[in-house]
Amino acid sequence: MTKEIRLRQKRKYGERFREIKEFLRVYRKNRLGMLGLSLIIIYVIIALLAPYITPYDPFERVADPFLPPNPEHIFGTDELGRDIFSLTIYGTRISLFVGILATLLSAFIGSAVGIVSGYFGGLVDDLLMRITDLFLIIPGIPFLIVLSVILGSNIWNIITVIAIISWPSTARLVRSETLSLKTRTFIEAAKLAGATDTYILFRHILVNVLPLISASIILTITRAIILEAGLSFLGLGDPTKISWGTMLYFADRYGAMFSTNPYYIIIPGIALSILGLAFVFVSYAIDEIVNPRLKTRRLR
Amino acid sequence: METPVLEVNNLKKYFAVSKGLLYSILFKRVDYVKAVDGISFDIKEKEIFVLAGETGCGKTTTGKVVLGLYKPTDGQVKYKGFDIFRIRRRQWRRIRHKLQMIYQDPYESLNPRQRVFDIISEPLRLNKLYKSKDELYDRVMKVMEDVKLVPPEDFMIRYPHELSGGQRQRVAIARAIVTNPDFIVADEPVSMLDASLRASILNLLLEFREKLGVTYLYITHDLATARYVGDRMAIMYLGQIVEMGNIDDLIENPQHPYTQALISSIPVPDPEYTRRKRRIRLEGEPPTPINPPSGCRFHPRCPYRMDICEKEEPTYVDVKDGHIVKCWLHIKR
Repeated sequence: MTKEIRLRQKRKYGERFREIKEFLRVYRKNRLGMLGLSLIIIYVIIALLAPYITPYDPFERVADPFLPPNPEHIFGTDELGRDIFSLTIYGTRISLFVGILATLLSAFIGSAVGIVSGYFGGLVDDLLMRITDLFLIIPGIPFLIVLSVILGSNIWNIITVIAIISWPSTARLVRSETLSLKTRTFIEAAKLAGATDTYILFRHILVNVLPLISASIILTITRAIILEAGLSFLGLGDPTKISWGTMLYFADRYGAMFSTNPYYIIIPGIALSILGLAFVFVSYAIDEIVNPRLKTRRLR
Repeated sequence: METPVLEVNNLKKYFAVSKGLLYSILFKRVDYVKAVDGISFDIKEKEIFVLAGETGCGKTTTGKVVLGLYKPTDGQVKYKGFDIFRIRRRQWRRIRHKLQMIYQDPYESLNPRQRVFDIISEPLRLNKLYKSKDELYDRVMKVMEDVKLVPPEDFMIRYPHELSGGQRQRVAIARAIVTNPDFIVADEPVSMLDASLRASILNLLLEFREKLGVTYLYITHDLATARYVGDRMAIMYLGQIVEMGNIDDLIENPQHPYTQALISSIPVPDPEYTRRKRRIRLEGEPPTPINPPSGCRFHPRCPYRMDICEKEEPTYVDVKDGHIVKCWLHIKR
């Protein structure tokens, strides 16, 4: 038993996170990537600490409508007299929440379809890939609008709808990687050892496509956040929640641009752009490290 | 007579060549690559049977069919008297780990995301061949010592990319041997390794034959290492066995023109010998196995070609106790 324990401990502390550490070491040298990552971390902290940062309750009227920026309200107030700064801070929560959850859902569907399709091939592959193609060629925004009109504007529906249009690209990516993994001899060796298909899928294929999936997740998050803002801006967002998209929708509707407080439209816009940019920086950096053609130095 | 460990009867494996939908509609036929086209051989217990031939002659396909990785188009494979393609799935599950394989490329045959311990213990875990974690650990330890990955504790926690080619091949061998198999297909196990490591890996294989009674099918194109380990040998050409017999006899007295050409091409590090030696050069490449030549498949490249070679396929002739050859030169008419 002591031997077993010794092995466990070596595994646990010795080298478990070696690959991740190595990845971080290279990543740290990428300035753009670090900038993006810091921005994302700041956004996440803001989202988590929103109630402590905001000076006012974002759902309360705290002043006159359309006040220009002043010492009490640094970005002024909206059409109902709510504090723009507090609204924007709370908006971070919804944007991140929708973005991350929709992405996880789409990554889950995409990976499952991609792995099964690539591994089993034949009729299963044909069927799944035609379905994937179908979703891939549907024009995203119009489809989103139709779906959210049918399903109704609540935050869970928005997440589902975004996931539905985002999964096909992940599925394609994962399938092609699975196809190449499938021909490696260690898969055949596993079959010889008596492994079932399910075992091979999880223990051999999935662990090897996981880095690819995580890289694609970063890109999908950006898309999901922008899509959520787009939907909300079109008035299809969840009206009971504050997101940057709904803020822009109301700002537009009440003519904020030409009112006494144009910051109503500028501030959520900037918040959205910076977050989107941050994710793009991170995905570029990861791509540079992971993509063998762009790799400046070998990771392994 | 004792039953052989492995019995192969008239084995055929054709692969359909896909030429696209339009082609198959227009011509209404499917082409086949006749990778293995009617071969038969027996392997006795503790024997090392060598299957040799050029790239693409069907050696590896034979090895994989024999292990049940491909279903044969025709013919039988019997393991200790059981036809492995006819026994029930459950029974096959139970004996499958008794037939293992060692691959050519140790960089491809190990999962890069598994540790050495997990790689080696996987066959045991999948077949539930251990009673306790301790036993699992001890068996992996022991087999690692057997393949000379010492000290095992250091190697267990490593990933394949942290090992050298020779060490990886030792891991692959440990994995194949851990279930105490009766039969192992070794598919060019040393061709990717440095010459200095080859002997030690081959000696490992010989050692396991003595200690565990393993029978081998050794697939190679390298006749020098084949002679070092092998007992009997079969020479394959375009999916068929052209000559088979005791390995020393076969190398010293090759009867088939193809075997003679193969053996004359073995480099000998002696310039004096090389100058005197008559090398048989073969013209051209082996033809495609999609449409193999008529009659004797070797006739387009054969230096002793006769009229009959083109028209009729020769049968096997026993030239000297069990040394058989498939060539018109040896058939008395």
